[in-house]
Amino acid sequence: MKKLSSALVAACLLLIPAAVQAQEYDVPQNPPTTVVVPETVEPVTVAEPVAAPEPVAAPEPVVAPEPVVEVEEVQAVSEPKVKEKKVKEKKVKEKKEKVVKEKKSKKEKTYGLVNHLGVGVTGGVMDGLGVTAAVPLGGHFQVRGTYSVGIPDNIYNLSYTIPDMGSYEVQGRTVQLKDITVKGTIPSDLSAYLDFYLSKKGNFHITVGLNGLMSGDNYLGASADISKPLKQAFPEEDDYSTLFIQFNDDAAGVKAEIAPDKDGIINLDVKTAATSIRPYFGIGWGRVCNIRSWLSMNLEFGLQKVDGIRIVGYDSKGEQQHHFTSGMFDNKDSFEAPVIGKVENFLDKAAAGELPYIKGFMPVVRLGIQIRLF
Amino acid sequence: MKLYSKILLVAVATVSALAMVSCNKDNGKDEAEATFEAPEYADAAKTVTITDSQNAVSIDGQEVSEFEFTESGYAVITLNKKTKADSENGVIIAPYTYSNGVYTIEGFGTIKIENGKLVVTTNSGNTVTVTATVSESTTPSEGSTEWNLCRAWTLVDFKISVKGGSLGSTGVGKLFTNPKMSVIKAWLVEQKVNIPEDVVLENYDVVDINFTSNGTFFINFSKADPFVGAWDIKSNSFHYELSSGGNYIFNGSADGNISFKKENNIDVCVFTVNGEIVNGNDKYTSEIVLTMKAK
Repeated sequence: MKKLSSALVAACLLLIPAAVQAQEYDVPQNPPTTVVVPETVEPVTVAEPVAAPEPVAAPEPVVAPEPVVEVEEVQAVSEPKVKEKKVKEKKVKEKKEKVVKEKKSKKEKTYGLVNHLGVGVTGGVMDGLGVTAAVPLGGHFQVRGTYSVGIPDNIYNLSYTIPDMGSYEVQGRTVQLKDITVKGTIPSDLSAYLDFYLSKKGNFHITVGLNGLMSGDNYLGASADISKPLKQAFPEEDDYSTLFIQFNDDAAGVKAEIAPDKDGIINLDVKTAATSIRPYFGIGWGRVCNIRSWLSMNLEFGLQKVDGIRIVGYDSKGEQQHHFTSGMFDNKDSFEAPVIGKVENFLDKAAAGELPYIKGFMPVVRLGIQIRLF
Repeated sequence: MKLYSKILLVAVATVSALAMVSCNKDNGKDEAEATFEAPEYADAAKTVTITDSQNAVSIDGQEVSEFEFTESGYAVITLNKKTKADSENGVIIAPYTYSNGVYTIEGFGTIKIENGKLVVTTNSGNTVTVTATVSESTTPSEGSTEWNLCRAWTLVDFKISVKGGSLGSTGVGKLFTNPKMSVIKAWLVEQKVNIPEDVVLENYDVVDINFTSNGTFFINFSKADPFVGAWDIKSNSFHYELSSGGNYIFNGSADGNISFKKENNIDVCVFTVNGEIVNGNDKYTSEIVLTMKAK
C-alpha cells in the first residue's frame, strides 16, 4: 500500500513541474498566418531578452519505504499471494512425508537383521500339525522354530483296521484277534532350523536343523484296540489291565510285561534308540517372512537322522517296560503268531538303525502357510 | 519398532523356555520318594534271651528261649525243641502292647524287665522270674532301606507271573488287587501250572508281612501258621530264608528285590520274590511282586 502511495506521489511530483513549464512556455495553439510589416521600419526595439526562467530543481528521488511484512495487512491487501504460500508449504510437507514413506517402504522390502517376523501353521508327514515362527538374518538366512502338536483326533484319525491277526493262546484261553483297529499318534515336538537362501530375495532354500528338542525319545505312538477279543475270551473281567504277558529274553537277561489298559487297548511307543535329538537336512521353497507379500507358503522336503528305534509297551500299572528285543520271540512254540518271524526281523533291524526307506534316515515332508506380521 | 522388538523378545523367550522345559523333561513317570515314619513300637523293640538254667518260662510244655519284641508290635516267641527229634524250634507270634515298662502279650501274659531279669506273669496268674540277656534293637538310620523296611506291611496288590514248563519262555501273569489265595490258585491251575489238590492255598491269605531290625522275617496268614525266617540284603540283593513254613507261593528260601515309591499318593514297598513251582516233572519259575503299604 505504501509502495503504491509512494508511486502515486512520485508521479504527481514529476507531473507538477511539467505542468508549470508548460504554462510559462505557452505556445500558441494557432500561429498567425500573415504578419503585417509596416513600411517604415522603425528600428525594432529589441525587446529585452526575456530572462530564462529559473530551472526547476529536479524533484528529490522518492525513497521507497522498507516493506513491512504484516499478514493482515498483506491479506487485507492480497489474498492470492497468501494462498499461494500455503499451497507451497503443503507441497513441501507432502514431499517430506513421501520421502519418509519411501524410505520406510524401501526398508520393509529388504531382509535385514531381525527386522521382520513371520508366523504360520505347518503340516508334515512325520510331525503332524504345528505352528512356526521365523525371523530373517539378512537376505540369505532365516532362523525358524516350529512347535508340532501331532495330529489331533478331531482333525484326522490315523487309524487302520486289520481284519485278521491270528489266534493266540493267552492266559489259558484262546484270543482271536480279528478286526483290530490300530491307531497311530505323533507326539508334540519342538524343532529349530536355519534356512539358507541362495538368493537374497529368492525363495529356494537349504535347511539344517534339529528335531526332537521337546519330545524326548518319543518318536511315534501306536495303539491297538483288542477289547472285543478280550471280552469274548474273558467275559468275567472288568479290568483288562490285570492280564499281562511277560516276554523274556533270557540270553540278554531282560524282560517286558505288556498289558492292555483297563479298557483293553494296548499302547506301544516307538522311541529313538540313542539320542533323542534328530539332525535334519532339507530343501524347500518359500519364506516365512516374505517381503513381497504378507501371505506366503513354504514347501519342504528333508531327511532326519534317527539312530535306531525301539518299541516299548506298558505293564498293568501303566509303567513303561523294557523295549522289545528279538530274543523275546525266540520261543515260537510257546507263543504262536503268524508274524513272529517278521517281528523279530524288524526289531533287529530297527534297533540297528536300519529303518525303511533310507538307512538311518526318515523322510520329512512339510507344508506351511504363514503371514508376515511386520 | 520398539513394540515389535518387544514382541520378538517375548517370542524368543517363549521358545527358549520351551526348549529348557524339554531338556529337563523326564520322559518316564515322575516317581516321588516314599517317606516313612518311625514304627509305633520302635522304642520298645528289643530281644530278650533267657539265660536262666534253673527257672524257665513255658508255653504248652515248651520252654521259651527268646522273646523278640518287634517294632511292628508283634512278639516273636521262640520255643525250644520239644524233643531232640524235632527238626526245628517252634515259634509263636502274638501281638503285644507296651506301657510303663511292661510288655503285655496277647494270649500269654505280661513281661517286665528289671535289672537283667524277666518277671513273667502268665494269664493264668503264674509268675516266674528268670535271668535274661536283653539286647536293644538297633534303630536304623532314618531314611535307610532298613528304616523303611522294618515294620509290618499289608498288601495293596499281588502280581504273579509264571513261565517255563508248558508255557515256555513267554510267561503269563495277572495282577490281583484283592488277593485271595483261592482265586490265585484257580488262576494258576487255568494256566496249567499243576498244583496238587492237597495244597490248600486257600488258608494262606496274607494278613501282614513283617521285617524286623533284628533280621527276622515273618508272614502272618488268615488261617495258617505264620512263616518265620530271616532276611538280609547283600549287594543290593534281598534274600530270605524260612525256618518254619513255605509253600508254592512263598518258597522256603528266595531271592528278590525291595524298593520303595509313592503309588497313588501312598508310600509303598514293592517286594519282589522269585520262586519255583515244582510238581513232578513240571517246573515253573515264578515271580511274585507284592505292593505293600505300612500297617
